Amino acid sequence: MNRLSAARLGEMASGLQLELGDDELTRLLPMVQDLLDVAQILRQKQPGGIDHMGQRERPTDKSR
Amino acid sequence: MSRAEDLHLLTVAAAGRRIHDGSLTPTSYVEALIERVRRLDPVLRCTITLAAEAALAAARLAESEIRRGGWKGPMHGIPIGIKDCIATEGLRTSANSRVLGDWVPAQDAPAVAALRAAGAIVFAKLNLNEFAWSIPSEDDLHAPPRNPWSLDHYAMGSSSGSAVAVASGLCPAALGTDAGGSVRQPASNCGVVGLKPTHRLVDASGAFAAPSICEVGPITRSVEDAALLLGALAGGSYAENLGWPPKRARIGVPSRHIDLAQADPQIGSAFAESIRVLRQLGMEIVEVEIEGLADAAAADFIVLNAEAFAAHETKLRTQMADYGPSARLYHTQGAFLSAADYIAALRTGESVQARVDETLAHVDALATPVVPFLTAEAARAAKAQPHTGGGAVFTAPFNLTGHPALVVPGGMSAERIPIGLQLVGRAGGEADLLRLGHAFEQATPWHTMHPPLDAAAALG
Repeated sequence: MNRLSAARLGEMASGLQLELGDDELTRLLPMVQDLLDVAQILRQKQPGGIDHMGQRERPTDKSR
Repeated sequence: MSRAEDLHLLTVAAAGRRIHDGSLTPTSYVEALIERVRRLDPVLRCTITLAAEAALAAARLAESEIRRGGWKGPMHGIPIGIKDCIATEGLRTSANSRVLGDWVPAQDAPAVAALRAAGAIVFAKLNLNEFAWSIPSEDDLHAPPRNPWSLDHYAMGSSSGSAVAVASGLCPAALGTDAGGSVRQPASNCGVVGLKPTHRLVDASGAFAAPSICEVGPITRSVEDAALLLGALAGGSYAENLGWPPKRARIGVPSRHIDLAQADPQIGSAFAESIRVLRQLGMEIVEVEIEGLADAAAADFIVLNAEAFAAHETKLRTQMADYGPSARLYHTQGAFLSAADYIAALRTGESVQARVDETLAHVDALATPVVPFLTAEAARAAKAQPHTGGGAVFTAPFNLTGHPALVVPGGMSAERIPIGLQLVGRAGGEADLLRLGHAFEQATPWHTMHPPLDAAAALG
């Protein structure tokens, strides 16, 4: 997994105009890292790209 | 049962019958519950706004309507609590956040309007984790509700106030919201019934909630009451035929998924005992394997975080300081996800939904524990990573797949903290699910137990 640094997270937050202090960025870093790690695993498991065209299970309506 | 002290034990169905036959008036019922809230809530902390005057006015109106022959049904004159992230016309809706402060909505959320149309009385706005997505703390705008079974513990969230109020007899039923287990986990933790309906069966607009995965659902003291509320919320008569036990229903148990969660041993024992009861009721228990349930739990929280940030983006830029320390981070973390992350999470849901549907073509329902931990504090101590689904491994998958899930009281720990049983049904299959839950409830003693609140009253 790619590791996110506090400095990089701060740059991203700033780019999004989110005012977070150093202490908040420190607490946020492991939360975001967990989230990105989980998301990366899910992306790898999901055959949704054009290289897997036609292999994805058919979407269903979950409100049936 | 006419003393004010005893009215708090009435279920919605029982109170409705007494209001209909004239042996209980909505006014005396509401007055008794107002007195109980004022006595116990300083300790329980589950009420943000008690709508005493408005509730009494509505009770007097209901009384007059019923006297004139205008009885609307079993909800008429019944006081209901509403999670404070669901809009209520003319009544402060804070979501337990300084961001909203004293906001008074101009109109009801459709779910609240549906209950009022059925004759219910909006009685109180109930406490929650800030915007239903944060770790509660004493520094919150309204400090977290205590579990009435063990006042040393917070109640699990996020619909903590709703579950505490119902379990403590402050109101007979309440509405919560559930995007990952927020109706079902507190219901389990407080020994009451919680229902997450099928996705979009109940209109969840007007609630601060992630739209793709969040449902508005009832928290009650009986399955019959959950059926009555669902009937009012969604239309239909779910409470009819509850007493007809399901004919040799097949119950699927996803054992591998359950084992991987490594639940507290007491939860494992209670679940095993619940399965024994279901078998004794004549149900066939079969092992099922549903690939990807843990992924679905994690994916549910990707969707939740992405949609939470999307909803709060503007306020986070302009009022960051008004969010509590936890809510600030919980609502911000989704900002760093990509569109591809969000789409992968939704696709995970589609895949797992198809597998759950396929399984439910062969069995009538799934049974699982509700939460792997006995207390909110134990989940946090185990670093269950609530923001990525660790503590919601049994509940969150069915938010993402949209299947209905019912929690009924299913046991009691050695520390006298309730343990629930989750039953998951086919999409739109609430009637069957409620019949199954009712049969289990009636075969077990758990729903007859009440938290020991005498000490709390003395403290208050």
